[in-house]
Amino acid sequence: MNEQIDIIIAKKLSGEATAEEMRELEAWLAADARHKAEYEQIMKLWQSDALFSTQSFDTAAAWQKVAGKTITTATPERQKTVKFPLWGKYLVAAAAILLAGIFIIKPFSQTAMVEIAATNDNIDIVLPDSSHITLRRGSKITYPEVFAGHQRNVSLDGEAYFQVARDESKPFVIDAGAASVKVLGTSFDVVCDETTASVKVTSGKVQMTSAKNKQAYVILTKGEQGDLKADKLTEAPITDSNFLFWKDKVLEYDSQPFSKIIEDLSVVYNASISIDLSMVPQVTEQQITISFNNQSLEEALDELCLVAHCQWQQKGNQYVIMAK
Amino acid sequence: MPALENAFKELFEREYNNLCRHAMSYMQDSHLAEDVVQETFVKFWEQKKDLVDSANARFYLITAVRNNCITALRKQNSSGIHFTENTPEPTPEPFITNRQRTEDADEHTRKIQAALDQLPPKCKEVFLLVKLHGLSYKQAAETLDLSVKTVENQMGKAIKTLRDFVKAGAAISFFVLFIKNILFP
Repeated sequence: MNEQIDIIIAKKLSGEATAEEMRELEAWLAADARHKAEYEQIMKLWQSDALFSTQSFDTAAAWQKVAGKTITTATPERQKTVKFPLWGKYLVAAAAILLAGIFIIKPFSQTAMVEIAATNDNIDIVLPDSSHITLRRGSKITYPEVFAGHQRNVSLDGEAYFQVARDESKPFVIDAGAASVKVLGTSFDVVCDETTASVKVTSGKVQMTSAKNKQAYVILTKGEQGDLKADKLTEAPITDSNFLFWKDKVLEYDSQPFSKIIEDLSVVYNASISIDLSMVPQVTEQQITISFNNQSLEEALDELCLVAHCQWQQKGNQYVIMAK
Repeated sequence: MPALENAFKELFEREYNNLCRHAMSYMQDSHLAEDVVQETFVKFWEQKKDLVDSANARFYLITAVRNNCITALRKQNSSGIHFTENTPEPTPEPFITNRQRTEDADEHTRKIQAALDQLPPKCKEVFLLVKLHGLSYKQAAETLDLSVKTVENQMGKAIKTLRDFVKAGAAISFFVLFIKNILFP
């Protein structure tokens, strides 16, 4: 039995379990409180990043190396040998120095801009300073190929999560439509368009300034959000703990009412979910601690119903939660 | 950059880290792991350029990295040279916030990784493909040339390890509580 249940748990966590196996798991969980505790801890481990070495590799540097051997390899030109008289050699050397000077100065005067639009999926981007950006689907970002000058300037239209590499001598500045966001090295989420902007900070310190009125700014720290709406800049603690769902596909609830979780699921999965009248308030208002990690709506509902002791049905486009 | 080059760059940026972690599980040395992965990408560009845009690119790369690691290890062994990890501890990433861990949590992480390292090689491979790369059982089975049933069993083994780990943890914390109650009633 034990071996079988391990196989089923593995399938459940990998999103491979059949309905039959879900029922078996449910029965096993109900059989003993210790089972449930074990299962929850396994799930936690599974969803944490403790299972693998979290060592991270320098993708930007590696890309330079690989790009040099692949996409930027030009076919070498055939070398010509021309004989010069001795004085000619000096002339050539002088000309070479002059030319080199021009080529060295040239790239700095004009930096090429890179524009990336995430059309089909979120995109992970590593900037030249090894800052990481996750660009949300439907958003666009522009940055220079090299961060010359005394600031690291990028511009964003849409939503992105930034993990900015620390460089105190070169502030990182995001032109975010209605606002300007300035940091030294932190991580935070930005949503913006022409008229509104919202910044949620997950670590460090961020300065958010209105693009229209440079005098209006707020300083945000971990767990705070700044919002710019109708030219008004406000700051408040972050209340929506799942604001990174678009990126991580993780929803976490710590003792939240069942009805709120259902509400959230319908928003993030863009589905219509209703609670059947057969449900008593003891069920709909119970506090639930649960997390969903990269699961389909069906799997999320399976799990939620398992914990909340109810069931769900799909009727056309509508999902209905009902009593057991 | 032309579309194909761009797609190649995106593919690289998306998969590089995970492939390196995967390679680490074989090479045990981060420099060697990175070398293998970079070399694999170069070969991929030379030989399979047309796959860059396809959904198969990932599977191809995963399989190629695995094979290249095994080849590299064979060569290493036959030449009698043994490499050891000589890179310093990676500096903690300053930008990853939801992973901030305390000292003892790291101890916890080390223990669980050590436990997983005791798994048989086949089981580890299956686990890497499913958990690290997020492949489905079917995709993992095809990549490793196994049956889906075998993948199921191997994943079950991995979960057993996690369960034993969790159980042991529960026993210890119970024991601590027990001692505490005796000493400080």
